[in-house]
Amino acid sequence: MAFSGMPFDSLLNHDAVVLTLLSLASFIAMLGVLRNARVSRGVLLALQLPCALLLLGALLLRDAPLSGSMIVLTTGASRDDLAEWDSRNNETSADLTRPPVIALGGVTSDFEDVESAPDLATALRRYPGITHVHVFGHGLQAHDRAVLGSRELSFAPPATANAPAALLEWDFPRQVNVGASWRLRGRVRGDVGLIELRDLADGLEASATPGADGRFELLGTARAVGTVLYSLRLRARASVDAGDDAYLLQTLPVPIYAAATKPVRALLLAAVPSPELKYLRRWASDAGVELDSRINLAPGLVQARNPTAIDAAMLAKLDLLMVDERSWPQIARQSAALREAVGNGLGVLIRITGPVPAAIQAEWRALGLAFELTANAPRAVSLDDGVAPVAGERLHAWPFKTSGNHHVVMLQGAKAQPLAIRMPLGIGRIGVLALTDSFRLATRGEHARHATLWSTVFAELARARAEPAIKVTETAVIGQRTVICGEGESLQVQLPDATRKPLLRDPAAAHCAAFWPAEAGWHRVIVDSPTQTSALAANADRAAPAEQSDEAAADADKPGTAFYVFDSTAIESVLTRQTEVATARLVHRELPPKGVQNDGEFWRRLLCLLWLMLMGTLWWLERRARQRLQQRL
Amino acid sequence: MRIASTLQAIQRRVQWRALLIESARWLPWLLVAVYAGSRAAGARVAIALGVFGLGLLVWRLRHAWKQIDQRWLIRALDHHDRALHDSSDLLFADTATLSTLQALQQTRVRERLLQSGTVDLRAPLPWQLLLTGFMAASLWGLFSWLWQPLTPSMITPSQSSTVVEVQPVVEQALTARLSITPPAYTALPTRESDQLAVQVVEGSELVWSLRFAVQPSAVRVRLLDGETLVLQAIDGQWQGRRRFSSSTVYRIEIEGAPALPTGAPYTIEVLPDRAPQLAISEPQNTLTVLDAAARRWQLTLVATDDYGLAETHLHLTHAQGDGEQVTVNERRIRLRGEGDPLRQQFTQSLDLIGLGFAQGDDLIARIEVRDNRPPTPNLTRSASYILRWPAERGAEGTGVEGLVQKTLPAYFRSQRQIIIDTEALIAEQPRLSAEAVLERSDAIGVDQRLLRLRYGQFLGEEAEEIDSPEGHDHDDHAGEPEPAVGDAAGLIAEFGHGHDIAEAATLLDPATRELLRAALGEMWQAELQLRIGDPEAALPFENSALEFIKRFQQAGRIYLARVGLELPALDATRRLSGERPGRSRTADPLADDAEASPAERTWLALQADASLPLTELLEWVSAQPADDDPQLALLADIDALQQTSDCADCRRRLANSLWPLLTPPAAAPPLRPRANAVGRAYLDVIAPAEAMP
Repeated sequence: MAFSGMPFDSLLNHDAVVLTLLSLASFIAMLGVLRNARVSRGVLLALQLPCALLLLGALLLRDAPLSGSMIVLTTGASRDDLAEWDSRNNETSADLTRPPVIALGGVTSDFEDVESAPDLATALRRYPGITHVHVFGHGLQAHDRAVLGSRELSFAPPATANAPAALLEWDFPRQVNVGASWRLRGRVRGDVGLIELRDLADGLEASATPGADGRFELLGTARAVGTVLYSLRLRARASVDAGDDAYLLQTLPVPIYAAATKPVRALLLAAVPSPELKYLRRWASDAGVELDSRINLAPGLVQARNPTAIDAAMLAKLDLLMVDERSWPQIARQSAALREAVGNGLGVLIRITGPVPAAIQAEWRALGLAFELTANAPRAVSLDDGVAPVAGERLHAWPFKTSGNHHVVMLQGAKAQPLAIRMPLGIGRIGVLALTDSFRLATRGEHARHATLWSTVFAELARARAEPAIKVTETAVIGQRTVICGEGESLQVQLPDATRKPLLRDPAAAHCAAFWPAEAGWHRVIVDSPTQTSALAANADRAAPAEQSDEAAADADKPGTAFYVFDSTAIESVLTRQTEVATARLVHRELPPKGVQNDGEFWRRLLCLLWLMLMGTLWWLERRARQRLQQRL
Repeated sequence: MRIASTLQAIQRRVQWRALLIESARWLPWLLVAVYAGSRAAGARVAIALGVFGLGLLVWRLRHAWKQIDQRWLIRALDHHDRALHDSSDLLFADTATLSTLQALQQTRVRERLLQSGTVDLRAPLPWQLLLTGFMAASLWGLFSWLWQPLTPSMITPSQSSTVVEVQPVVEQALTARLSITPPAYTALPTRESDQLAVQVVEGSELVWSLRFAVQPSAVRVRLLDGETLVLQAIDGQWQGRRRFSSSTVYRIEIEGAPALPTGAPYTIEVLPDRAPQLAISEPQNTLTVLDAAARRWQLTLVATDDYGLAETHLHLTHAQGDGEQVTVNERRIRLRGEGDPLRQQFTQSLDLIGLGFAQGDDLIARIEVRDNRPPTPNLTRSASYILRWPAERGAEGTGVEGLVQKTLPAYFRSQRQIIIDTEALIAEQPRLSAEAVLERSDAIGVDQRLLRLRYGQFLGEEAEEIDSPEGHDHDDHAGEPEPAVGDAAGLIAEFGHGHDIAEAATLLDPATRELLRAALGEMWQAELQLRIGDPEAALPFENSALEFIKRFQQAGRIYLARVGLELPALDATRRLSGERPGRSRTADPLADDAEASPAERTWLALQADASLPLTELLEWVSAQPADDDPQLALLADIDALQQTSDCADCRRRLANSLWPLLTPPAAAPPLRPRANAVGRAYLDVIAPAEAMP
């Protein structure tokens, strides 16, 4: 009983005294009533007990005294921690006894004599009034962190000087677009010579050597739509035979869900052919953009593949319309249809290739785009895209200014001058690109920068057609709460054995539901959305394999994602590190100021009021009884 | 003592019967045990079992023999004949020791016994017991006869089917022998294998000899692609032969007998005949430039092949002449090598004088090595090794203006026009006001500037710095970050030009660049004079610039291989009809409109748990180049799924094998997600009121 709770015992004694006194008082009162009262004796007698109960309630219903601390042992805690704590505290104050020590679930082996609790909430219920929690070991799990409330926390992660080499942190996208490359950044501890990323067929996707601080970066590409389980291997050093298991320290699963992308449908209108267009079209074909172009070669001579008229129906099918100021009059004839189409989501990119006539500026202003060139010749600029400028790099852009409330700069130069802006119009967007010669990036050999530039512009402006993202907890682990957020009628999770579980939405968090996975492996989230039928109809013309007519294939078209549930033993080092970091973060969190009135106060006041009223009634009854008695006498 | 012999005869008969019964009971078991032992564990175990069993049997027989002793006989006799008055024991007693009464009784019993003749005390044969035992032993014997132990000489597929059926007691088993005859040219010996999964050289012939425990009525070898090979029964062995030139997997199907247990298919991995390898040690570089006349040109190379080399040829191309007058001679020389057929060394010294190699000539050498694979040998060609003796400079030809002008139409047109304009302006100058002259002169100056800028592009961007408001020095590379190692773009930016891009190509040699720079300088001066309204002063510079341009046009010249112009045949029926349908593609020819490959479709079907297009995938895999390693694993996975379509593990393995065969699609620009209700409301609020439809 060395650690038995002192406050709890004294509290019990207090309450016992109060209870005894009150019962005694109420008993004496009843006796008095029986002996003295002649009239309304029954009522008087009956009211004594509720009166006593109300007073008792008002006295006992009080805030737990906020004082005291508790030691919580989590996984990784050792006896040395406790011994160290004792020695440290005995130095400062000799008479202080050790606060209660609780071993949370999972910590059993080394602490048989210590009281254990399944979680922190249970421990705090057993010891109300704890204001300070000392945590030893690797830290608190998520459900324990959630119940900490406003209690102070002290925590220091265990020293890792002699810990084996392992992966500590990683960061990679759980969902990528197919064909796009993705990055895995991470940090390892200890002596790791080589880190490999291997694909499904055990082929080497990428490898890296960690830096002095243990950080590394790997690049992978998702080849096809679907769930792909890469594996990350840490080796003590590079072995000659890469397929060998020699020097293997750790193998971790890296689950990536490669989502299908829809191609952007774009139309390019240009008044003159130019190298800019050549490289733009080449990039578009490489990037899978369904680009149709109409380039005027001479008056009346158009290089076009599909010379269909530009009308509302055609604009509704487009995602992005690219036009320059000289070909603007072509679509200005359809301005109402264009405005309607942009309002419904079409993106328009206006490429500035020369001075803009006032009439066209007026038409743009009517669309909400107040645009004005500030010089009569393009100026040399260099892009501010995070790439170190190369000597001799010189692009050109028309300086311009716009006035409007919701203009957003898409691209800017090194001197912070805007090179491209966009503004919303309804659901769609209108953008202006004043850069005239982005092709120079490609001709200099910097194809990646050229592609990034245009990819950014397309992504910002093209019709927002992608399904809303479904968010799943980054690292889902067996037995731990996983949160899935997605808009739609209902959320379902398909387990690895193909059974489905409907999820109940959390009424507090819109569109979110919690899920406790029971087995490791790929889980699929299926969202039934009301707009899904229309989305399917729009996709009907896409080439769907003829065989995929069965139900499973139909589900594949539904918006959804897949997430991987980890076995906690497979990624133990990463989870431990996450727990440590999250717990350490709680140490320095901002605590609410103390002494805040809580709910108990209200009820106590209510009980006091009721007791007062009841006492008043009693007093009045007794007074009347006394009067009657005197009258009778 | 007749009675004694009679009694002994009775006892012997009973004993012999007991021996017979015991033997009949146990001997079948002993025999079957020995047989089963020999089947299961070999002759030694069988002999040991036999000796042990025989010992047991002998002990058992002796026991049975011993049991029939005097006491047994007395009891049996008493039991057999009541007339003996339970006094059979007196028969064995010595008369002398007996009392009178006993002797009397002895005599009576003796007489009774002799009177009754032969007393048959033999136990009857326990037919039921013996028959049951015999049947059980026979069943065991049959079982052990059919049961095939797992020895290397007898193959049964290891995995057994998970389907539980009421199997007959009889099980099928297979003993196989595979004879592999590699093609003759490899000179490899024929080998025998008792494994059904083998690695063979491309073009090998396989002969199966299969022997079954239960003779089937027909046996087929079914290859993965559905092709079957019917085996013929010869002396109880099923035989068939086939030649293999690509890897495959197969199963053995039998009719009219219990099927073989299902399991993994047998693989035939075909090792292709590799093309010969060439290692050229001399010359070391593909271009050798001579400074002076040389007498000989040495070529040294080593060719290796896996099964033997055939002919090796040296192709020589001798390009002579200059300008338009290039003549090309080609000749083919067969090389004689030293060494064995697997590795040959060639040393060829070319007599340059004999070949007529002179200054300004190119000699291009190329080696072709063939191996001895029939019918089409593998061919390896080396890179082209060029021996060049550069021509003396300054002997540029003339008269090719038309050709050059055709290749550069846009840039070489208007200097003459500027001169004409300037001359016209000079002629009109007296009639015009000073402002008008200045204005027109300035306009011509603008033209001159544009022209200069266009020429400037030929010098890279260097000439353009004139026009930039903030000039900068190209040699000032300070503060510029070092390009990272491996960063190709950075390397190109620092040291070179992207030659794969037409616009960025540096086509001009330094001398020509100097010419162009001089022309640009003249243009500068001309522009200056024109801009200040002095066309007469500008005219000499313009003429001088034109002169330089003419020289520049004649200087830079590129020779390309002449390729015939092959236009598609003219369709006369459609000519001038104005009909385009069917001829013009509406899709962008750059766009990849190819359908998803069967591998991709199978992958998608695997992801969606849909039915798999296995047949198409099989055809597609078979059409792929044969030297892919994962191919055989892929074939095995396909076969597994053909056997059982709903096998989650097989599907996962097929997905893993398919992964390297998938081509990643283009990284498309990501699309923004659709706005939700909140987003729409926000966009509606901020939309400009007058702009909304």
